Amino acid sequence: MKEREARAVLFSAVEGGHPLWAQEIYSQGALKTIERLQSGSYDRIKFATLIAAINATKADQVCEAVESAGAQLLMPGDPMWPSMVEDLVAPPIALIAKGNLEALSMQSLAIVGTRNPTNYGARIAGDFAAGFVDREWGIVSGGAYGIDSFAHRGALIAEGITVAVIASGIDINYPAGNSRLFAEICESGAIVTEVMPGHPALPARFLTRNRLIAALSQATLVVEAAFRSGSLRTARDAAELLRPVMAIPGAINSPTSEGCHRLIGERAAELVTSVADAVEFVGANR
Amino acid sequence: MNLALTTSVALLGLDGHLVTVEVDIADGLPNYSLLGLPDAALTESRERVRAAMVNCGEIWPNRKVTVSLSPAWLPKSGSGFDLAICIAILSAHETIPTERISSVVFLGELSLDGRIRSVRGVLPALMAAYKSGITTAVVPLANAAEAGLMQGMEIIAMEHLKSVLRWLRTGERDVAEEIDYQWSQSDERLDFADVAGQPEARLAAEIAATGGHHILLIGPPGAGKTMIAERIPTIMPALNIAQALEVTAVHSLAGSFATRSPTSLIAPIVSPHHTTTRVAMVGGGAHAIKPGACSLAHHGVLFIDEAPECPSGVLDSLRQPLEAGTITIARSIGNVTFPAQFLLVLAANPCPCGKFSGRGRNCICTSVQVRRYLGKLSGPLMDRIDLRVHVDPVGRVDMARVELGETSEAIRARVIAARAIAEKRFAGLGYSLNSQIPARSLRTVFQPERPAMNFLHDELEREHITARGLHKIARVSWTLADLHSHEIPTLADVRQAHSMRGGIEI
Repeated sequence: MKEREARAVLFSAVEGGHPLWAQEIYSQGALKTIERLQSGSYDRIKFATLIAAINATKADQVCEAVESAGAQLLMPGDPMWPSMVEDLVAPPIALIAKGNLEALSMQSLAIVGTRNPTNYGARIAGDFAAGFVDREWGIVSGGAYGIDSFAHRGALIAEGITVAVIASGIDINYPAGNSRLFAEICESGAIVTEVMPGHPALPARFLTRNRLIAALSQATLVVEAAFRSGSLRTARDAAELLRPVMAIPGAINSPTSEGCHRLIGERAAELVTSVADAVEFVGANR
Repeated sequence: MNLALTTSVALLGLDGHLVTVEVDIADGLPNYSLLGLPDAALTESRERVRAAMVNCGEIWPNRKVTVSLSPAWLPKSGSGFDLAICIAILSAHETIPTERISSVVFLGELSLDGRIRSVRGVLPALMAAYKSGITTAVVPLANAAEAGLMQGMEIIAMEHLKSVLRWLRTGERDVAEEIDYQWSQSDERLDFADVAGQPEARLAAEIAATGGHHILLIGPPGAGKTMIAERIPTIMPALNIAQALEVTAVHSLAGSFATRSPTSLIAPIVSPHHTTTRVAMVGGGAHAIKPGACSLAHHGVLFIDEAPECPSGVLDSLRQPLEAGTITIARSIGNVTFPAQFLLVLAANPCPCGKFSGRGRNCICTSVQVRRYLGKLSGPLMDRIDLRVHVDPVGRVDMARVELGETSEAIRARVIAARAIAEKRFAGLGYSLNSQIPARSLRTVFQPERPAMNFLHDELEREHITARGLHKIARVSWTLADLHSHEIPTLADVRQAHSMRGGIEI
């Protein structure tokens, strides 16, 4: 088995966002990790299911599944591999992507927020997406309803490039209502995931997906987020990567701006009120 | 002569059919048969009629009595034929003269001691009788108020069978109490002055009442959604007499005068609970088809609180009446059409637990639950809703304010003035409210001013609104223009209308 094949096997067997395996694979290589797993260098009982999964998986099957979904498997060292994801504590073992793969490595802004935006948030998300597109940045978001959709749309309307990082397999349109949006995104931008084809979007996968949104972009903008929101996770992931985090303020009696105010109050995000502000902050921080 | 006829009315929905009650008393074993498709309540009339007759000192004919209600094919229901049957039997038995009976319609249920009880549907029944050329009616005293609305008919309101018999035999009538037939115009109990603060929601209510725009109020429990909705009828123009008669006829059929005076000119408000069934909402029933909440709200307000909690089929059943202004109910006994032109007012919490407002920290719902909650209302029904307004909790300053808000009377004056402008504009076009402007006309004759249209088209291009949303905003902007006495909607009107759409629709 070659290194690349070993990595494919591990990618399919290990759930994304696992710091131990990600670090083992990146430090010693996938082949070595599998050997050590099989020889018992790790706890055999604790990792019994993982070892069984690795033994049951063939690299060909993994590649075939990805190809039949019309996507590509990307690994470190590949020409299209977005190397900035390696800054993560738990970098992805590999990625599955379709569309224009160059979009993954371009300079981009992540725009994240609630699934239940107000008119205000919907408008701001679209305007900022279009504003950054005008400065030749890409827009990264999660393909969900609400702010995510408006950010993607804003970028597309401004004829820019946008990347959706999704939490399900690449062949599953989740949410199904955004199927057309996904198709439009693929025409110029890309859809990317670290979940094998056919796997559904489980709640835990949204959290691991959020770290990829932060890692695939140079800066993160939170438009509207409730007090407890997955978007705040993305903001913290971006902060951990020492990348700029910005938040849009809202009315203090609007529940969907409470998360943004929390980030601003904790000094975890910079308050921005215009596209120009955001551009200046992102530029000045580099 | 052992044969006699009297006249009564059978109702199928609001349509009345004259029914001839024929009684034949023949020799033979004592027997009683009732013909003409009676339902259970009508079949039981035999016992009521006999007891009432005997208790009034009359003699029951102990022979073969045949009662026939014709036309025989028409199914008949209810207890309203008791009086007509009783009079016909006595007449066939030759104990009362026939001359006064011939051109009178009799309505009323008999109690066992001979008192005449109220029945449902007196007004529509009298309308049918009047159309057939009958000008005198004997009705229960309890129904005198609604019966009195019939202009050109002599109404004899009686409380007891004995009084009816005395009138038939001697022509003497008890001096009935003078009933005040004045239409009443004001409702003392409710007034917009009671609503503290809420400027946006108040304005939305005014727009809704003016242009007939259906409205959705979203806000946490206790913010005043119900309070505002209940007061919308107080700012609507008074009904004209024709409208009031339609409303009273429907309420008469439903027997709902406990909550609404038959002589009221105030727009009705009906607020069915969210657990209501589809039949209760649009009307129905197996024997007697009764009007539902949407017909009782005819020319008034249909208010549904906690609308997302309604089973979806119930709200969707409102689509036909919203479209057509009438509701047609088909049952085996026939098709019945009730009027149903109402202003739909929906109220909803922002999320299932109701706390996703303000800072929203106490809300225990997941984002998917929040998203889905109002999503239950989406689809074709929401297409008809022009205004979506967030009602925030009453603020500290509004609570502390001592002076009352604007009164309903002041608001109503503006509504009436604005409606008059719209009616003038739409003269001869077949509609009178801004909410009824067809989409085609909005793009041609009734287009807001140029800069306003440019603003809307920009919004459309940026996908902030849909084409449907554009039309709704344009309709609301016409109402705002009428309220502000602008000749055509200005950019400011359109912007304001745009802000009252709240929420997103893509």
